[in-house]
Amino acid sequence: MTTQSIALGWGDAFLLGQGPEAAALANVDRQTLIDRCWARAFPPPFDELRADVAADLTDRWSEPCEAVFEFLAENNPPQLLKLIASNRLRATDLTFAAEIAGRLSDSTPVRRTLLPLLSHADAVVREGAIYGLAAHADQTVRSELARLSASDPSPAVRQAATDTLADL
Amino acid sequence: MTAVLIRFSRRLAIWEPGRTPDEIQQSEFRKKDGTVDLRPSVYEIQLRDIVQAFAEHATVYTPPASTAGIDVAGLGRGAESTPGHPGFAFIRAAHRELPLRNADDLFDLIRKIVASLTSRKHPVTRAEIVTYAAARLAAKDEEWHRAIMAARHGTWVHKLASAQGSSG
Repeated sequence: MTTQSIALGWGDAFLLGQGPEAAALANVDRQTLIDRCWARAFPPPFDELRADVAADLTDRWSEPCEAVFEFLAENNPPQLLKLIASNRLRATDLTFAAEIAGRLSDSTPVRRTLLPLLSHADAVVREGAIYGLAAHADQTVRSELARLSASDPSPAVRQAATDTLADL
Repeated sequence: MTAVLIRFSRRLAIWEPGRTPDEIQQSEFRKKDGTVDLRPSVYEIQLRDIVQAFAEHATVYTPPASTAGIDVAGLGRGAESTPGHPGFAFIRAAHRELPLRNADDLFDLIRKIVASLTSRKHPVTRAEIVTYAAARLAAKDEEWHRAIMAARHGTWVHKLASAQGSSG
């Protein structure tokens, strides 16, 4: 026989109980949880993020990784972009964070966050930013890709920019 | 002709000169959850089939970027046959995993790859895979048509199929 787990939200009648006392207790519990999040110290670079988001990530993963970036892309896009813009990710993380940010639907903040990465000192980051921007190309992005395609010092970045321009 | 064991690169720039084994591991041999990949996927193929292998492998990616196939054969690691991409018989049969003992074993492998990278790195361009895929679609290849149905909307194979008027 298996036991089925049941997920309860803060608004569930069972959790809140039926009377005003039960509801008050549930709200106290909720506030306590939020206060604990704010009081926790989070490892870098998660400390860049809102406390409840950092708590959520730290409970699941010990360091930045693709699963973190995908989770944020799915659940909290502004915090993913904030993490990218914090400049505290390793180049080998930033490149995948930038690519995953390309899945977001709102092009304006994606371009605002990823365009500066096209001038990042590390070619791996520039390559990831190119992939991230591929679905958000406006005239500025096209111009930047053309610049990279023609004159980036990294053959890999030139290739990625050329490929992406060909696909637009 | 001798078979090669090809690991498709995630970032072209990571194989440019000056990279450390740490950086290569973080980019190329890490699982989504951030842990070290001690069973990296490879394809056991003839080198002449590398474009087909990458085109099929890349149907789930967008944009279709150029890559480098890194040959890891002959470095003292045996490959184990495991099921690959279910959509294509060729890469499903060719899929292998390279079981490594621990992180030290992986770093030893990376150092050996880097020491003979020139002869192990086999570029595959975006143009080559797009040309290959276009030919398969024009030939009404059932596997490719199924791959388009399974691929996320907006991926390169969708665009290619639309351009050929064969998506529906």
